[in-house]
Amino acid sequence: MKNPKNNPDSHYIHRMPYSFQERVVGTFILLAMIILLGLLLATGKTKYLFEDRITLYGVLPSAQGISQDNTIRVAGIEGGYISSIDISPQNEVIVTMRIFKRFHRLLREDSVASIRSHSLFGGASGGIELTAGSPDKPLLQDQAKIAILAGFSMDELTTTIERTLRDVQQTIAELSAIVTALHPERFSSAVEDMGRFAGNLQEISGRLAGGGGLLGAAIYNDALQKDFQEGISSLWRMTKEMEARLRQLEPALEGTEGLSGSIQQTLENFPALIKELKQTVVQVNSMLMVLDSEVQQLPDLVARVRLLIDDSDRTLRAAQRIWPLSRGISKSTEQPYLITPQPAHE
Amino acid sequence: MNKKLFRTGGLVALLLIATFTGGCVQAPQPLQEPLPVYIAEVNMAQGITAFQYSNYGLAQQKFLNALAIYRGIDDPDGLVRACINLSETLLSQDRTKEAVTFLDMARYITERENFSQYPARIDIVASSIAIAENRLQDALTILNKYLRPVAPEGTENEIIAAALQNMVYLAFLSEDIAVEPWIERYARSLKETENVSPSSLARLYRFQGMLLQSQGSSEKSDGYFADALKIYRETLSRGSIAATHTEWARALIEQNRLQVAEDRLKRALAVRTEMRDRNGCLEVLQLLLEVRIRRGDKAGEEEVRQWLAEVSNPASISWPGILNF
Repeated sequence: MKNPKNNPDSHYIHRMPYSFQERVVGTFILLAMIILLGLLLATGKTKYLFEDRITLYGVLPSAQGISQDNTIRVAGIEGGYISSIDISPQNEVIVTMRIFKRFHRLLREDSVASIRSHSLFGGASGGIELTAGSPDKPLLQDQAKIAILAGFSMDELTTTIERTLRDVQQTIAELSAIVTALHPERFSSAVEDMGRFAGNLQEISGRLAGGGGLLGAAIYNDALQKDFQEGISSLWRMTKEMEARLRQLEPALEGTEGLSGSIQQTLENFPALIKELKQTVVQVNSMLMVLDSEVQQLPDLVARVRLLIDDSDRTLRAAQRIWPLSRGISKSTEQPYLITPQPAHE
Repeated sequence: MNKKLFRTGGLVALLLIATFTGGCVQAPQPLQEPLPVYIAEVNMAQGITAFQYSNYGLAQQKFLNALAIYRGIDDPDGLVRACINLSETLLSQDRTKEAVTFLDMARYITERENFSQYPARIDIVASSIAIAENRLQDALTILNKYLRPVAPEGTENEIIAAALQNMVYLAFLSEDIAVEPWIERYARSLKETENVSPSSLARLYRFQGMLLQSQGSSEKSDGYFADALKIYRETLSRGSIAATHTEWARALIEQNRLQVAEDRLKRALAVRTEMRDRNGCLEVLQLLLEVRIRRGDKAGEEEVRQWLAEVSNPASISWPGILNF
């Protein structure tokens, strides 16, 4: 086969030195890369290159949650973008919004502007949401001002969680107070005394039933006087005993009074507590649902990142073989993944 | 209207240029490594990093992982590299018998597959093992092959530099070989090398320090040892730091500067203990015992003897307490 370098009929490029050929190819590649880079940078701006726009000025106290990269959604559809964020002499944040003209008819005087909240993992971007107004209301004019409502930020979410947790903590503390008020030793002493009292009553009723009492003796026993005296003295002893028992019961009854007061007070607060707890559970539940949906996106995100890294790796390796990078980066002469020879006695 | 036309024209022109120039960048893309090879290479890379930081236990584990993967996909090239790395790692821990096992495996596969890039590398490890086992003649035979006036064709500078380092060390150990000419040759080869590695330069300083010490120039030798230490500290080469302290201490013992030698030995001992290098600790403790005997420090001598007994016992787990010295 004839060498194309020596063949006068071959294309002139084959007669050029290899380094020149390499440079020609490299120049084209560089040019292409620059253009592609330019296109990439311009994509965001040129996406709606031919759209006619109107300008609205949004006023809000803080620019938290928005930036110049953010888009504007009109009734949930991407309908514009934020072109600048400035501060007014009154220290208000003025957001200049460019709205595509085809969405203009949706923007009426009752349209509401609000900041879209950021999702936990950046699943949805921040920006401004404009609601469609009532068709019977007048259109918002070009250059008009509109107040923007602050969105639900991560800080607020954190504050809500914190408040919720505090409520739960307070509920637990109050429940704990109820349990503490129930002194088990006092309760057991009161029950014991009541038991004795009931025993004595049982003894009396037994005597009556057996005819040993005053009434029985009045009917069947001749020695009524004697029995009556004994009965009186027995009644006397019983009264004394009852008095002693009642004295013993006194502190227990006092304790019961305090306990019942505390229970009553707690029970009064109980409906409110239960209501708060219910609200807390609902909030936590909705928060967990949001978290769950975000976490479900994670494996997909990781897989995508891996693909991206692989692609970048391929691109970088390929780029290293192209002039002028191929000149700048020396080819590795090292054996791959081999320890450099180690001298003896280290 | 003109603005719109300009924008449209600009965009069309850009698209046309991108289309035409895009044809020039169509080149075959480098193939991605299959996943097992990728995992094996990650293990190898992690092992090398661990080895560089003298974490030999971790390095060994990573190289064994890689070896298992290469075996599983019957990759002879990967197997040879993993075996050489394992051999180097085991040698660094003075486990020469196991190092020989893996080196023999590497040699067998290299011969079977007719690999041309590994025999020299295997020979260098073999010479280091021979020196470690005090088989000086065997080491000399291996090294001579690479230190002839004309080295075998295709021998890399890295191999020649390693062979020279081993040769100089061998000369220090042997009474029949003159050290100075070999150090000079080593220095010359470094001068001729374009990118001298810091470790190669530090090694030269250590050799020069040892040579000057043997010639009685203790002040100059101190300077060389200090320079070598500085480089090793910058590159965090723990094994080399300990080795330099030990060599410096040997020189100081010969000069009868026992107090300073003891300080150097304690510093070497701290590094070796941190590396959990039992054999390295034993070597340093032997020198420390010599120092204390010569100083007449009876209590200190007894203390070192106790530690020698403790560290010699492979079952002992209390020997890192040596740092309380």
